[in-house]
Parts: sequence; C-alpha cells; structure tokens
Amino acid sequence: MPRPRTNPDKHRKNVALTIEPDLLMRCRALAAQKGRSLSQLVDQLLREWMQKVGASDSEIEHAISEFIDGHEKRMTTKETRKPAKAAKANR
Amino acid sequence: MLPTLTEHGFLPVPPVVHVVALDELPGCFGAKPARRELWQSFLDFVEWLKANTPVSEIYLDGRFLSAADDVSHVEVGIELSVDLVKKCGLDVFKVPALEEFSVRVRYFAPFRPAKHNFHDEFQTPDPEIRLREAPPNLCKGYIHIRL
Repeated sequence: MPRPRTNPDKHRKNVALTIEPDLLMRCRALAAQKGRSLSQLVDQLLREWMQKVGASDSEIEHAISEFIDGHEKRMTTKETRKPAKAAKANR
Repeated sequence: MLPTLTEHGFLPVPPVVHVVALDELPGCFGAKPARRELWQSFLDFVEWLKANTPVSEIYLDGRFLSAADDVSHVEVGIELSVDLVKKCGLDVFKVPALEEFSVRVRYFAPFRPAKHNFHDEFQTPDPEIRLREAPPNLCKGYIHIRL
C-alpha cells in the first residue's frame, strides 16, 4: 500500500548551518540527553525566538489592513441597516 | 482657537487640518442638549483612549463639526501605525465606540494611503450638503487633537 501523500510545503527543509565545533559537540550531547535531535532543538529555539521577538512589520501591516477592512465593512453594514430599522419603526 | 464656520457651515480652509488642544475646543459646537450629550460622550471616548491605548493624536470631523441640525454621532479618525499596534495590539480597537460613546471611528493606515483614507473623506462635505447650493469642489477643514 503506498504511503499517503503529505503536503510538500510542510516538509522539513535541509539547511546548512555553521556552528563552532565546541558548541556543536555540547549541543549534540545535550540534545541527545533530552532525547531530541539537533534539528528539533534548533526548531524549538527558533520558534521561541520568533515568539519573543514578535511579528514582523509586514505581518503587522497585513493584520492592520485586515482589521481596517473588516471594521469598515461592519460599519457600512450597520449604516445600511439603520434606515431599514427606522422604516420598520415608522410603520 | 478655531475660526468661525463658513457660509456653508463648515470649518474654513486653509488650513485643511486645524490643530487644536482639547481644552481649547469650543465644546459642543452648539448649545442644543443633544450636541452637549454627544460632546460629553466624545470626551468619555477620549478618556477611554487615554486609559487603554497609546493613541496620542486623533482627528475630529463629521456633521458634528458643521452647522447641521441632525447630528447623531461624532466622527473620529485614528491612524494605526505599526509602532502603535506593536505597543497595544489590535484587539483593543474592537471597542464598539458607536454604541458606547456615539463615536464613529475611522481607522487609517499610513502605509496604505489609497484605501479608506479618512483624511480625504474628512475634507469632503456630505453629498446632501452639496445640494444646498455649495460648490461641487468645496473643501472643508477638520480638527487635529493631540491627547
């Protein structure tokens, strides 16, 4: 039975890192102690760093843009509903 | 100090943006109780902004700033910059300002000037006002307040 296909965009990528030999040896040893690979360790550290540093400016710009579009849409909906409500009240 | 309204009932231009301190504003732009209530609601909104956000400047516009009789809310423009949002996030701006403070908030992002730019809208009178023999290209002023 063939293996189910996975999303290629989610496959882990190979990257070349250059690390001081001494640090690399200690990291490998510590990662092994914790039952993790060096890749998993780097992955976790990068995620923690991203959380700490926060979203990039372009991500924030995108979020602001979406927020304003949504806000304007909600306000326009409210304003177009108002006359209908008023007409109902006048009946 | 704000100049008096023009013959069409708007703030004169130039300047398009009148920089005024909050305590220098003539208050309710009219003595009618409804306008006084709106002004008080607007002041409550300003207090809320000061207490909950790092917003340091706002723009004020709408029929409230004109000689119009039927005024239901105050229009406030707020610029959402990346730096501002980094400080307080976006969720705080989801406040239902119209329902709670009778303030219709217009947000503008300086990095996308062409979309929903309240600075353009605030210079343009309501279409129905143009019917009152005002010139079609009439430009009006609005107010900048540093909180």
